[in-house]
Amino acid sequence: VDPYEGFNEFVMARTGALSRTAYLLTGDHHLAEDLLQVALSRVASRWPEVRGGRPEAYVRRVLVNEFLSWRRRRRYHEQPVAEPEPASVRPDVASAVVRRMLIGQALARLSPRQRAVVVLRYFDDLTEADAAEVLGCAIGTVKSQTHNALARLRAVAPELAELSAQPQRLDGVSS
Amino acid sequence: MTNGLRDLLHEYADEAKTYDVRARALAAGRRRRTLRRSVPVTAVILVILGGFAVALRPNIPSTVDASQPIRRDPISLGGFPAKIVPADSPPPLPTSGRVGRAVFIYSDPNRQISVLVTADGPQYLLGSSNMTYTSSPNGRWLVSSDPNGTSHIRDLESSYASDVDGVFYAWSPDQTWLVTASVTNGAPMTAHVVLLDDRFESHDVDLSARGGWVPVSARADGQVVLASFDGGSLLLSTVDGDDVQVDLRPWLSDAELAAKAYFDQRGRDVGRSLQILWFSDDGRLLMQVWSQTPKGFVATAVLVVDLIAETVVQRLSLPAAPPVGDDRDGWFLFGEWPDWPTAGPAGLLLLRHDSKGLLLAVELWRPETRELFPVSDLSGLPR
Repeated sequence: VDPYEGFNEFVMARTGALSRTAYLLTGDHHLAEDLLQVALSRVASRWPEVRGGRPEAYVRRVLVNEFLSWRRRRRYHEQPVAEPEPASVRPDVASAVVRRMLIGQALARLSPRQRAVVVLRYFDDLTEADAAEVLGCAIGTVKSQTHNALARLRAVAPELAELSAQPQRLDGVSS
Repeated sequence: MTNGLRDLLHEYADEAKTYDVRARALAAGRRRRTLRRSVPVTAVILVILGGFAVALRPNIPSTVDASQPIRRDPISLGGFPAKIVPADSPPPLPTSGRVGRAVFIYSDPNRQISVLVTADGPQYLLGSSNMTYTSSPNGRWLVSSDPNGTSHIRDLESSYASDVDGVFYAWSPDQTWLVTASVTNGAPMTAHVVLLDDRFESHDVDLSARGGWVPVSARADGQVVLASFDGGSLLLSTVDGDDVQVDLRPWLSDAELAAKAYFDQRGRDVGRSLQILWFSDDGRLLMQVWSQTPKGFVATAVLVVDLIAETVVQRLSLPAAPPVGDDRDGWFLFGEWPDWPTAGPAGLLLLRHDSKGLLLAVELWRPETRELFPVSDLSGLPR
C-alpha cells in the first residue's frame, strides 16, 4: 500500500488556497514558497496518519506554526524597519496597487502571532475556537490578540479604514 | 467576505502565485518519515548501551536523590561577606555620595528597621519597615517604595537620586531601566519606565486595559514586558504586541501545577515574590517552580526558558531537603551566578531557610554537579 496515496491529489486541489495563506503570512514570494514546501513536507511525512482526519486543518496548523517558528528564529537577526511613509493618496484616486501596498505594509507592522491571527480569522474565516486550536492557545488569547492586532492596524494604517469598502467593520468583524 | 478587512486581505492574497512545491515536499517528507521511523531503533540501541553502563557503574546508595546536595567548603562570591553580622547601630544611608554596591538587605523585626549591607563592608540604616527596599542585581541601584505609591531611586555608586511615581516592579536585564507601577486595588494600572542614568527620564504605559498582566521586565529599548498565565502557559507581551507563549505543562508535576494554579489566582503576585521571573539579556529567563505539599509550598526547581524558541530548554532541580521530619531546610531562588554562559547558568544563588521561613544562608547551587557552596552565613540576622 502506498503510504502517500491521495497526497498528490490533496496538494493539487489545495495548493492555490495554501499558497495564498502562505503569502499573506510572509508577504514575500520566496518565503511563501519555502514556507509552503516545509509545511507540506511535514504533512507528507505524517500523511498516513493525517489523511483519515482533517488534512487541511492539519496543514494549516503546520503552516502557521512553521511561520511563527521562523519568525522567532529570525527575530534577533532582523533590523527594525523604518516607519512607512504615510500614504498621500486619497480614496478617490487609490488604486488596487496602493491598497495592496498599504495592507502589505500594515501586516508587516504586526507581530508574527498577531499577523497569523488576522490571517486565520479574516482570510481563512476560522472561528475563534478553530484559530485557537491552530495556534495552540486559549480562545481568550485569540480574542486579545485579535483586539490588539486590529488596534495596531488602525494605528499604523488609518488609511485602510478609508480605503476599505466598509470601514466601520474594521474593528468589529466577527465570524 | 463580509467586511473591508476581508476584502483587503483577499485583494492582497491575489498577488500570491501558485507555488508548485508538491514534488519537493513529497521527497522531503519521505526522508523525514524514514528518519523518524529509525528513531525507535536508535533508542533501543541506546537503552541497551545504557543497561551495560548501569551494570558496570560503581554502587551508588539508592537513597541518593538526583538533587541531593554534595556539600562543599564555603567560597567567596560577589562581594558577600562570609557571615553577615548585624551592626548595632548602623548610620543612616547618606543622601548623596558613593556608598558602594549593595549585596544584601535585611530587616530587624524587633526594631522595625531595614539595613543595607554593602560590598565594601559598611552597613546603613535604610528606614522604617513599612517601606519596601529593593536593590538591582548589579547592586548599583536602590529603590525605596512607600505604601503611598511613590518610590525613591538612589545610585549607590554616585550621588544620582530621584523620586518617581509607583512602587517597584522590575529591572530590565541590563539594568538600564527600572519599572515601577501605580496600583489600584492590587492591580497595576500605569507602568512607569525609568531610564537609569543621571536624568531619570521616564515614560508611562497605560495598563488599565491589561487586566491580569503584570510588569516583569523591560526590553533594551524601554518597552515594558508584561507577564500573565493562561492555563498552563506563561505569556509575555509588550505593549506593541510582540508576544511570547511558553507551554509549561510538560515540565511541571501535578503538585507543581496545583501550586501554580493557586499562585495564578493571586494575579498581582505573578512575576514578583511568588513566581520569580529572572530575565537574562540574551533572551532567556529563569522561572522558579513551587510544589504544593501537605506542609505548604516548597520551591522545587527552576525552569530555563528560551524566549526566542518559546520553549523550556532546561529544568534545574533545587537541592532536595533532608528528610528529617518537620525541621526541613528549604531554598528559593535569589539570583544566578555568574552571568549567563552559552550552556546556561553555571550556578544558582539560593537563599536557604528553615521550616519557619527564617533565612539561614546564601548558597551557590550547581545543578549539573549537585555541588552546594556556602557563600554567606545569615544565621546571625535578627529574628
